[in-house]
Amino acid sequence: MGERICCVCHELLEEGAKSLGGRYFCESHYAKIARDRQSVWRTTIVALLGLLAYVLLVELIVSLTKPTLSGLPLVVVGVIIALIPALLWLIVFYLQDRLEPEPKEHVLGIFALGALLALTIGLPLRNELFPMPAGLMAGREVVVELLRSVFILGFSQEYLKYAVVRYTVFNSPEFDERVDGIIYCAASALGFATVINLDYILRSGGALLHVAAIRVTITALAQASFSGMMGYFLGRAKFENMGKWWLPGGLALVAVLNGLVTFLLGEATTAGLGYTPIYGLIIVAVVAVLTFGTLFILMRRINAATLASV
Amino acid sequence: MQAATRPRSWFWSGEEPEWIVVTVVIVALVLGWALMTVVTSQTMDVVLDDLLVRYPVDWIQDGQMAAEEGYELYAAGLSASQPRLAVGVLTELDPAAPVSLSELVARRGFSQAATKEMYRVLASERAIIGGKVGVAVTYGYVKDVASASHLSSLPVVMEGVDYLMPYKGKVHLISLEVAASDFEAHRRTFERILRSVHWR
Repeated sequence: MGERICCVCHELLEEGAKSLGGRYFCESHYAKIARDRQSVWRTTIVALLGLLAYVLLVELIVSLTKPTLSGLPLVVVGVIIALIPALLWLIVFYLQDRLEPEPKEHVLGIFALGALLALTIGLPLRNELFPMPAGLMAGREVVVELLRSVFILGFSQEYLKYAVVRYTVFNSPEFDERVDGIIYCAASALGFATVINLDYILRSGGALLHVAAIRVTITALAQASFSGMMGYFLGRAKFENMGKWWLPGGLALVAVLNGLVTFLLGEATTAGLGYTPIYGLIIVAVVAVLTFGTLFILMRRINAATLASV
Repeated sequence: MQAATRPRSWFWSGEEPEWIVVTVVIVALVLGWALMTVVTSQTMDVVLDDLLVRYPVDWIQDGQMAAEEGYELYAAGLSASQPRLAVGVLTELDPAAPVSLSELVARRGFSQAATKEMYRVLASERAIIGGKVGVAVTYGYVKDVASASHLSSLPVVMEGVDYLMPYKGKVHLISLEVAASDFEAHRRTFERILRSVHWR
């Protein structure tokens, strides 16, 4: 019989150590695994409502003041607008997390790594290596856009955000609860989304402020939702033996959903040369509510089942 | 019960070997790239004498030209500055009165300047198309289509390249042009068209 090691802190365990789903745990980590961190769900709800309020606020400010910014001032304001969704989430997370803290440096580090991978791999892959080909007829354009959204953007984006968590904090003792998967994946996604949003603002030379506010919110919410799903798969893989296809299957599922929603967002918001971002905001808000609602229910069920088996 | 240890070589072995995840992602990217290539690279052929050129299947052939004059094809769209491909025979060479490539370039320039507004040659250089040597003339002009006035468009600066290719006693012309502002976006398509050129 081989040695028994806690799957969280890698401490050597005695005979009769606690086990769950084919994994062994030391006493302290066994007690923590099924903890249901209410702060995560509160953060999610507050951040979601906060983002919608932020869009309304920018819309209100723009309609009241009718700003006539251009050039550098417009870009600067655009950059601030692009940073707000991530800042909002981080602030809410920090305030909510005081009672049940997650190491801030880990969360910020994951956020920064997500941004770094978006900048160095995600954006070049999307903009340079696989740009949308020009000059296609409408019917073929739709097919190519769908293929590009699902196979190229979906898989590359989800893998990069997943890699940030999987190859860093996943094997560390700080990842000691199932729900940590969702926390770290959301941080990675927001870093990723922030760079995508900055790229959009800088490429468009500032953009209309209220349109920019909606667009950056859509990106942040969509990326956080998909990564939240991936966090669920990672959270379970860490503490249970889910089989070798659990993570690849989860990643493929999330990547396909990412691609389909990205495609749907593109189709719903653009008609001819027009751009109606509000439809995108509605779609992504529904996706976010459904995603995090489902995750909440799943987590509660699994944690309840774990506690019942203790 | 087996011990649940996490092996150090977690990439290759263990309960969740990471190589499967990486493989799934690589397969998806390759599959996506392949499917996109299949959809975007479907082509049709135009054959003119000994010259064969493939163009994107969704480009439209200008029905006003007779087949013996050559072919003019353009990408579908409302704009008058859509990408265009013209394939034709510029002139038949007379062995008794040989002309140099630079003379052909000059003649082409004069004839184009007579019909196109603000026509300017931007560069001319040696080019090898389909394994044959010729010359590439990059040009620009202003396009103001009177019949497109209902499209509310301003005159457009066009940019294009004429490839003059002597072959079997004729100088063939392959011309590619688009609005100058869209030239970079269509460079890949143009390169694909040029790579498809085949001399029989």
